[in-house]
Amino acid sequence: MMEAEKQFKKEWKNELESNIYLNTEMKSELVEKVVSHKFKEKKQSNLVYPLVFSIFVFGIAFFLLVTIQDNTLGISSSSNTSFSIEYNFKELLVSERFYWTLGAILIEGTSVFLLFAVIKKTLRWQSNTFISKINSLLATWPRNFVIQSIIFILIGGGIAFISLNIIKILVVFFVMLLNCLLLLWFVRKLNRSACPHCGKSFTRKDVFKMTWAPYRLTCIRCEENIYLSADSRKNSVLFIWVPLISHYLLALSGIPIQIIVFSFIVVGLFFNFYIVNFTNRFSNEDEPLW
Amino acid sequence: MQRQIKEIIDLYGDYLLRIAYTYVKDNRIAEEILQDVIFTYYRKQKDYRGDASLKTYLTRITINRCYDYLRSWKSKRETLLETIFVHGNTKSIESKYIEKEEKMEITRTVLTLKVKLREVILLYYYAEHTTKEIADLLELPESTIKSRLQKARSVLKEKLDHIEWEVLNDGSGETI
Repeated sequence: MMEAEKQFKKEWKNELESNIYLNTEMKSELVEKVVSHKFKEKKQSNLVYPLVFSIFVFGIAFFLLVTIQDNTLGISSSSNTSFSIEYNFKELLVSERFYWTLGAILIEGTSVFLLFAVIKKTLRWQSNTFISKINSLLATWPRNFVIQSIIFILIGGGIAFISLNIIKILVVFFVMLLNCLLLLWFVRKLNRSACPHCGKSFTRKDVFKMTWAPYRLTCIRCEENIYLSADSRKNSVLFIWVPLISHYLLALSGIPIQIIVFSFIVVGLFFNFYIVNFTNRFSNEDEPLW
Repeated sequence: MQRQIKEIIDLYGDYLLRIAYTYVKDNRIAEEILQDVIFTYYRKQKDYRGDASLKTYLTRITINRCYDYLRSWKSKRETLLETIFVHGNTKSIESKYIEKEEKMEITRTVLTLKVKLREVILLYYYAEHTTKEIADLLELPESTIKSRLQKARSVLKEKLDHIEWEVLNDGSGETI
């Protein structure tokens, strides 16, 4: 080390040692606090993001429900299309309610089946205690089949006894759930995206910032240039098709557009805040799309 | 146990306090971070496997706690309030505190650097680590450490023009 650097080091050390130090009283106080457990470790939990997000989602949902249909809440728990044992079979087959109920039950069944498949097959969740407990419960296929069937029958049975308006809203809910589960299924084997230079796994916040960066990206840790890989750019377009088509079909069925838009927004937010952490892959060179 | 904690504080307390201070630029916060670090070590002693020296282990915990503080809402609020309410010649509480003591020209200048540059200067010149050791400590490539050191030195060069800077020496005698 050259003389000038030695001088800098010496001067700086002197400054720090003269001004920043613990006196005897502070040391004793620190020892006492640590040993007597008076010092409580502050838990760092930031509730702002989940709180704001929840208020946003529930606020929008409430607003949408208020704006649709005739009555104040936009839905009716009793209507003249509620289930009646006195329906005869022919009337049942031509009733709108029958097909809606059947559709809702089918989508519900698919959702239940896919939910358990996602829980079982998502590799990065297998180390989670709660998921391990569920997997041990579903260890054998007869047990798996029985549990899924019970849930399917309970929910499906409930659907059969509610009014048509609520069935329609439930259909939208199950389509939304199905879209989210499909997205989870596509990323079941993937891990978080990482920097191709230093290997750092990016957090949700890092990926969110980089998704909106207009130009070249740099790794938050090593600050080397990184680029979205061509594969992830191509695949990101594919992920939009399933939600788009499913919600378009819902729109054709006469469900109020506000509910469909709400469902589409929720799926979009889920994709942008969670799925994108696994689908965005980075490379150290700017790969051409074709 | 009390004796062990006292020994650690006597040996490394001042050193860790200075590291924390260089990150957070506030003596009070640095003391809180030091308390947190000692308490963490006290609770999780069995997690210390002895792969690195105790000093390096405690340094790493301190750096992580400093980053946690810098990322927190509290720190951002303080920075925002300082930006809004400190104008021109008005001095912040922190700078008044510094000027109450001896003149700390070099420290004040180093504290004007960004965190990423400040930490490499601190670990290289004050803690006297090599670039390789700093790279291991911060879990970064060594080339990144070297380029940050170069950048920090070029910024400090303009501000501390009474000190002549030489080409960086990587600790093995070779010049980069």
